[in-house]
Amino acid sequence: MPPDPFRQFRSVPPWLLRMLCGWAVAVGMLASSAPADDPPGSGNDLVTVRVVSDVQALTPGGRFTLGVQYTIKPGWHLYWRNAGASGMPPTVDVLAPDGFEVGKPVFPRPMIFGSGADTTYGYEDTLLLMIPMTCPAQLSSSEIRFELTLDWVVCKVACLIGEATKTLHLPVAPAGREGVIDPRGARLIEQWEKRVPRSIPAGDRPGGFSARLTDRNHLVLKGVAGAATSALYIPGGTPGVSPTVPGPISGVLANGTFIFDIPMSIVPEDALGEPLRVNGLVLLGTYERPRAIELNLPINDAKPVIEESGG
Amino acid sequence: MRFNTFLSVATVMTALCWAGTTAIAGVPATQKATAPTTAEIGKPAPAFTLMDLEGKPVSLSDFKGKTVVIEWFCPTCPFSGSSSARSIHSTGRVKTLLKNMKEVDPDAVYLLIDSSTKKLRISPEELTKRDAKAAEKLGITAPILIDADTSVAKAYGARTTPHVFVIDGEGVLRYQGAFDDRTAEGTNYPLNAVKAIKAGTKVEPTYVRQWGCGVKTG
Repeated sequence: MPPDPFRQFRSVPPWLLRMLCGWAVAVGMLASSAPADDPPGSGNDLVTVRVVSDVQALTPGGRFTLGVQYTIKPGWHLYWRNAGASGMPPTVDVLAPDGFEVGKPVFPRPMIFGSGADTTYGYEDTLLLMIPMTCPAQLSSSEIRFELTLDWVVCKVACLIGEATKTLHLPVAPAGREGVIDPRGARLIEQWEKRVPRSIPAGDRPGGFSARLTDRNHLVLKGVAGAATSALYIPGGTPGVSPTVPGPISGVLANGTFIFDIPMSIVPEDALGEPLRVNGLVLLGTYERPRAIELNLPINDAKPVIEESGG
Repeated sequence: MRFNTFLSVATVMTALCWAGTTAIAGVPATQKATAPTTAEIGKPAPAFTLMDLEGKPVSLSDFKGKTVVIEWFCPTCPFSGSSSARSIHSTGRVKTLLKNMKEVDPDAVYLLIDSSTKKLRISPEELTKRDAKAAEKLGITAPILIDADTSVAKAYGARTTPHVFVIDGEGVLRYQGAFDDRTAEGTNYPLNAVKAIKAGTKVEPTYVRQWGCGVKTG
């Protein structure tokens, strides 16, 4: 006679069975109606920020870099300057005394989240945005105060907004003295500068790289791939100009070179008054050992064929 | 040992209940998005019939002859919902748009579509309740339609909340993308589109990259 599989249940009183079933139903119903995860109240709970500089003291006319370091809770992410399908890049507003030149934040190479039309670009764990700064020719006070207003969107499934204001006071080096490097800040900024894509300005002819927009609006990119085992193109999100295919685009690797042939959509009325330009990154290597090239090519309305080539 | 076995049974039942309640809270029979299945500027916008918060079916075709502005909405998104003082509703930017839009075209219609069931992992009924609360808190008077199975979000390619679409009286999509440039004083793109449609001129821009929380359809 085969063993009775329900033998263990037969000694359980029916009232206990009903109670447990009721409990199970209640738990089930609660679970089905609960949100996936209750997000923290604000993006400030998920991201901490601090401001660093690569110098300990400023000199008249001297250049230096401010860095905004974001430390992100595991599982959440911030966004690149082109967030992709959703999200928003962090913003940094630097309030500096008159005469200081404040550059645009420099974004390191991003990671890729999702795929296809849902692809977004950003950063997990940590991010350093770098702001190039230039001192005026004369510095009258002995200490300079910088106020940074920071704003970010941090997402996992849900998104939250964070904001902070940070101040940094930097002394002015005595006359005739060099500015003093801040070793810790400089080291951090140097590490992140290695992740910044190498820029290919118009007219430059770096070895082995060429970019061409055909009269059929195909962007053709060629360059040296070296030991890279993959090559991806991600758009910079310039208004009016975008690949017709969403998400990162794979290039062809052959004989140590990469080749992309990317059909582009160019819609002048969507350019929001800005000059039309092709902007994007060619990603080689990995996020940990990055190599990236930034493409920034103006599009001439009258002559839609542009060409840049290197040796 | 026997109690442990019972706990196992309870767990299994919990799983079954979970699956069951999800199935019960399924897609309303009236929901549908019909061809064309993708939204493209200059082409007819995908038709749809969705339930509003009172359970009344609302179709795009109900507004034939009128300009329709659709905002993708999520009650928990800090850019569109009630969880932040900086959303387009909390800051009064939608109210300003509606006021200006009615001055330009009194017949223009504003709809909100919520496709957040998969993102929030809740039933359409629960989403309806949350939207009703958010609408009350934010003073939203425009219809909020529940896209229970996210098929309308898929058909339109709605990526964010808020992602905005403007459809002319012929049912042709004329603008899609960002609600505005994220400032109260800046450009409101759907208003520009409504003005151009009313004036019979070309809509410019037809697309501005959308921003905000992601819409989950898969």
